[in-house]
Amino acid sequence: MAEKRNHVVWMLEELPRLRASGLIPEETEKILLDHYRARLEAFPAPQKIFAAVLAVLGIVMVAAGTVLFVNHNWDMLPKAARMGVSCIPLGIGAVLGYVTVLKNKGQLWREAAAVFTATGAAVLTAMLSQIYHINGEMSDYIFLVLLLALPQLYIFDSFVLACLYVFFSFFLTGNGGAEAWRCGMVAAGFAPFLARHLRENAKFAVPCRYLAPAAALSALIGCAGSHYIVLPVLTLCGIFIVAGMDLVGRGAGLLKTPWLLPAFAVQMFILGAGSCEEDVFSFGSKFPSAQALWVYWIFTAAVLLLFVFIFMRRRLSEERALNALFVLLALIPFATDAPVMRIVCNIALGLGGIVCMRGGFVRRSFLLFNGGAVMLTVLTSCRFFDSDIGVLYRSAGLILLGLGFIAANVVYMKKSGRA
Amino acid sequence: MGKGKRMLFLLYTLSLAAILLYPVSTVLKIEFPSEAPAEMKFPVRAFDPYDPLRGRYVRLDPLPNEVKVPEDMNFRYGEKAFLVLERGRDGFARAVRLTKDRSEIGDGEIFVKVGRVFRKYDKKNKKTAVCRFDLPFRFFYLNELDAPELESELAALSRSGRAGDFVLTVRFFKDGLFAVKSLEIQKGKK
Repeated sequence: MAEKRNHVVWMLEELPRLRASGLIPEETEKILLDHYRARLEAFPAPQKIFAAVLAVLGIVMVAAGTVLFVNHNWDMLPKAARMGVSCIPLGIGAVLGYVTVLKNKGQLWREAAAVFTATGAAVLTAMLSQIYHINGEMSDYIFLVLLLALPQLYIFDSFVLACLYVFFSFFLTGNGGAEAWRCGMVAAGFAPFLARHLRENAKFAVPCRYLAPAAALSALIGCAGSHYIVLPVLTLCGIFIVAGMDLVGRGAGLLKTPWLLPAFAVQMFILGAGSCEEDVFSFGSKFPSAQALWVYWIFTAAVLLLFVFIFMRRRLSEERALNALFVLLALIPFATDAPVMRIVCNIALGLGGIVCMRGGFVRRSFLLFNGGAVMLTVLTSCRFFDSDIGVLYRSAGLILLGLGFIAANVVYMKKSGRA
Repeated sequence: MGKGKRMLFLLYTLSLAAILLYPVSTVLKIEFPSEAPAEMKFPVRAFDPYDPLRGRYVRLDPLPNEVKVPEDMNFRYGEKAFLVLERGRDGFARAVRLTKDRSEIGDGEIFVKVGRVFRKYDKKNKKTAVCRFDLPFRFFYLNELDAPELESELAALSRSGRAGDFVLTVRFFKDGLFAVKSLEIQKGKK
């Protein structure tokens, strides 16, 4: 918004100069001045924004004071009155919701209605617990509130509520968190919202690209954290890398494609660690229940299917083939108990590095070329810091390899005309 | 009203009904129970943390917190389970058994969902199968005017090394629902 306002101000300053230099006649200048002045007036003035911020702060302070006042007299109120007070936030949410639906209000109203209704549900449930001393697990409470918030997410198409939903879904994960099936339900409930908004021309396409990795991480920890997590992690990394490369291929900048670098970093970390330690690809010593195993396999099958779907959308390329290979190598421990994963990871990193560098060179893709360089760097770093070779030889080797990469980059940039 | 708007109106009304379902059904179960709730006492140790978000409350550490389980019963650390309870002659609760499957609990049995279950290993006898757990009633909210009195009482008990002199009375309803009734100091009611 601020940027557009600056554009209009610049245009207003530019018009007299254009007329003075004879590029536009006076009549045109007058028409354009009227047009852009009207547009400038339509923008909210900075003073208005400041006033709005002050008003919001004032409302929050009044609300906080009211809460404390009620809190002070809380025990003096009869139970019915306390329940009535607990319903007030939900009541406000309901009024906002009905006005939004009936008057077909805009996005701001939709966000407010969704957040107030969901918050009202959370407050009512919490206050019920406080009034009747019904203690319980935090994860049960969060699960209930997330389930109740889900319809609001879809009815009002609210991005703010979606962010809150993903944030609070992390409270279900980890030790002492909710059972895997609950995490699975929460993730499954959110998936259609994400799928809908990740389409290219969707309303929240770019913000949802930032939300998707967080949602995936929460679902991953909750659904697959108790078993062999490497397989779904590498599959999710593959999804984000392949889909991210597709977006870059369609001209999206790296800021609008926040998937590539984190997913690639995680993938390199797992493969690098796997090339040093056999245990990275082990099943661990946990005792997942039969139910948790079911959830694990449903989640893993879902992400594998999604990977296949994204993989098949475009022609086969280096990054697609490599990510499929990395997913497949995570399946090896199901086939054999033999300690082969260190060797497999070393080969995968070396092969991946060479294939990506070659592909980057041929297709003039700087991103792919450097991806390959990073893979080879990870491999050489792991080997040089992990072996019994003397320090002097290792340092010399690293310096030589580093210089080699710099030289390869310079040659590549000259060839591709970017130098 | 258009068809889309009518559909949204209906969906929103249904979602509000879903939100109200849990509080209304819980209040009805507690205020008008179909069967008289079973009352049990739990010896508790009480701590008094200050929390600006929760206001005045006492943190409780209720007993029993362990029960014998079959030797082949394993738990992942932090797992949840159902604890079957029975009322002793003195009115205090006794832990009967622990189960992962709610369907194994018979009609009329009193149970509660417990968290952070883990198998306790005895170094001398590794076959000893005892599980430790956290009972869910861990907070007791206080009237702001009563809180300072209890705080000084807690401090005195801590100094005298008798922090376990509290008794928590809990009412158990059908379907595992429970509500804390009172927290008492054994010598005098609080």
